[in-house]
Amino acid sequence: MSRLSLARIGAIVRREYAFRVKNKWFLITTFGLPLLMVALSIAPAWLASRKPGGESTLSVGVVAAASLRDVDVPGLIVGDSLGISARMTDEDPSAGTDRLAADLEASEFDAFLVLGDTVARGGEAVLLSRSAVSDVRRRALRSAVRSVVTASRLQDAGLPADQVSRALRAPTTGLSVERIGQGGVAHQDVLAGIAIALCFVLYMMFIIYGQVIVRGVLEEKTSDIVEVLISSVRPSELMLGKVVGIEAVSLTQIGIWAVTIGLLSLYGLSGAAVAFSEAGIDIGGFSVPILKIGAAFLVFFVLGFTLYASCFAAVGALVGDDQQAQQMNFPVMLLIIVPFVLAFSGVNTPDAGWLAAASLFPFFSPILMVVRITTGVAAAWEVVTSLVLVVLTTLGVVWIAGRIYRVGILMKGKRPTLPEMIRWVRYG
Amino acid sequence: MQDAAIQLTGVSKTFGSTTAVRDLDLAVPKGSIYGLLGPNGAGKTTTIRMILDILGPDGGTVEVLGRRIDDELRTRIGYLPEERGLYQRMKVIDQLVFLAVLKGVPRAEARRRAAAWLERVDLADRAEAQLEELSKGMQQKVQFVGTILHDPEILILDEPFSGLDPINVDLLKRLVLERHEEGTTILFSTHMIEDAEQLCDRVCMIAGARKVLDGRVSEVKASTGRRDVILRFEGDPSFLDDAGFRGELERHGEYLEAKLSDHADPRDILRRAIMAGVQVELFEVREPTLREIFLERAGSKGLEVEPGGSAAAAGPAGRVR
Repeated sequence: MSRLSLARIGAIVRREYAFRVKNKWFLITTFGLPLLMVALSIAPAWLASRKPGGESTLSVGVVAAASLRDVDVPGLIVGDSLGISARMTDEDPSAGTDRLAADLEASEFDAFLVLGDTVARGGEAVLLSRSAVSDVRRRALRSAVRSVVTASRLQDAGLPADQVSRALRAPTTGLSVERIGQGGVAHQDVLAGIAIALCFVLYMMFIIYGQVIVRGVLEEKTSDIVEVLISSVRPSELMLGKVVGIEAVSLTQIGIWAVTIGLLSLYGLSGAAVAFSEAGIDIGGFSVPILKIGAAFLVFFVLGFTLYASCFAAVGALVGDDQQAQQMNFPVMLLIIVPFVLAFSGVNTPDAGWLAAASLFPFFSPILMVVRITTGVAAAWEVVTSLVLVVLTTLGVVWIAGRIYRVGILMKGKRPTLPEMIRWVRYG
Repeated sequence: MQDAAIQLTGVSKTFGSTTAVRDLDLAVPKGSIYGLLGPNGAGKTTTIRMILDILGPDGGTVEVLGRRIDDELRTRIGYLPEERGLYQRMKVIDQLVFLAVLKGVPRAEARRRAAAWLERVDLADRAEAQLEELSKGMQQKVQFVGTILHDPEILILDEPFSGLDPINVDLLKRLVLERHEEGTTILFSTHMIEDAEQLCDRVCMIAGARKVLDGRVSEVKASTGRRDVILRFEGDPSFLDDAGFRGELERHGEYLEAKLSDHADPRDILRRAIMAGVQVELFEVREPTLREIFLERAGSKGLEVEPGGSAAAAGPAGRVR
């Protein structure tokens, strides 16, 4: 294989870069993506923190067995902020569900919290409700039931009822988990938040720019620009130039974001801090290994981009129109979507063995390794192994995609079959 | 041939069950204007793609300037494809510079030449326009300029005049002839035989994947050893039948035109026409046109492929470089 010409690749890179950076889509994504991200990271916390939107208050009637009559159940339900109010009723829990349901219909309550005789011994409490009860409210009521059981047991042991309820009505406190690592103590939740944010950026960039590449290749192919180009450059040079040029565009975009966040944090207004404090997470006073995370992100971004973009370039070369592109896109998209989904569950259990294994699969590494490195659980050998695997896979994929590309790019008409594609790769 | 710019020997190409080119020998001498003629689907574009190494032949050899094509040779060739190949949303000047840089012209020099050429083809004021804002004729001129900016030794033009208005056809023909005078070897394909007749000093005609004619235009014409008599007249054509002439009779407005081949002394025909009392509008003795020779050689078979579209549309089942 003779040498590729850097001058020609450079000319392709330059054209792609200049054309795309001047394009209005560059502006839209540069400013739109951070807005979308901030919205997506803040919205759930914001929704959860405010009184359930549109939900009316929930008035709960407590139906307690005689053995629990001494416990101040309404006082143990901490639900003011969730719009829950509770009062004792005279209903008998042993009356049966049908009877209680009829009484509930007739009463002014929205729900009955039924605490039968067995509850104190580990039996199940029942919430009988006219309408659906939101997750946060269910959680509040569940913890109230636990307090009731505790209170009942303490009272049985001889503690006075008023002392028990005072003790159990202690203010709720949070739990902040701090990991000890090379970079000192870092806040687990902050690291998880950063990991998810980085994952999101990787995912969006891979998917969006993947489509940019498919479209770009398709445009050249359907307008026969490729005929002119191929009479001047080799197909592999064209593909590489395209991938590198568009990669440079995406790196420019990331550079703009990094500088913006840097400038904001100079004024003590780090975008991340804003997002996290809105989400109820305190970032103050914890050191985040920014350099390590930044380096991991950049390296895996560049490798992952090259890997997926080459696949997308091959897809663009194989298809004849947008519709075919949609179908052929999907397998490549899956390689990005699957690790993204895994990252979301993985970020809560970064130590999990399955996450470690998945992060070594080269097509998943770019996203999952960033999660594991950011949360500080990736061992050095794992990082090195995954880097080697990703680099080798990327080289292999670039080579295979190049072969598919150079045949596909000049082909018109029907989509090739898999055996045909394999033949191109072997004999191309 | 010693000084062939392009030499094809026994070249074949099939796409699936379709044979696009069969056992083609072709030699384009340096400095010539060579016409590759044939109806649509005859294999012209496939031949050109094989010369440019866009497609690899299934059999035979293709040599350009005495050797197999390589990166260095590619910079010495200019190619104008049949389908226009330019970016719709890119400035004209940027587009031209891009194409020239790919051919190895330094960027600043490319920009200078592009500006000068746009001036020559009356597009200087559109240099900063997006290509899609230009008319089809203008786009074609831009494409042509992009083909010659790197000053190629060989110019390969695939159907350069199709879809252009007469004024721009004339302009492009002038530019092509100008390159020819400067010594550039020019190979162009066309299904408009008259274009080739006007411009070329050599032609190769292919039909149904086979070569049916090849050589100097003058030799090809002389080789038929035939002259046609054209008689255009107004009046009763029956005198022709009486004289036993057989030939084509076509209506041209109020006139009838008879084309009579080799039958008799042209003077005899003219005398009979005058005696029959028809009004003679035109009387001409001439060599057959390339079109007539082509139709004669290729027969109706040559034209049957006409609606079939480009054979390359079947997709390259074989190898590409």
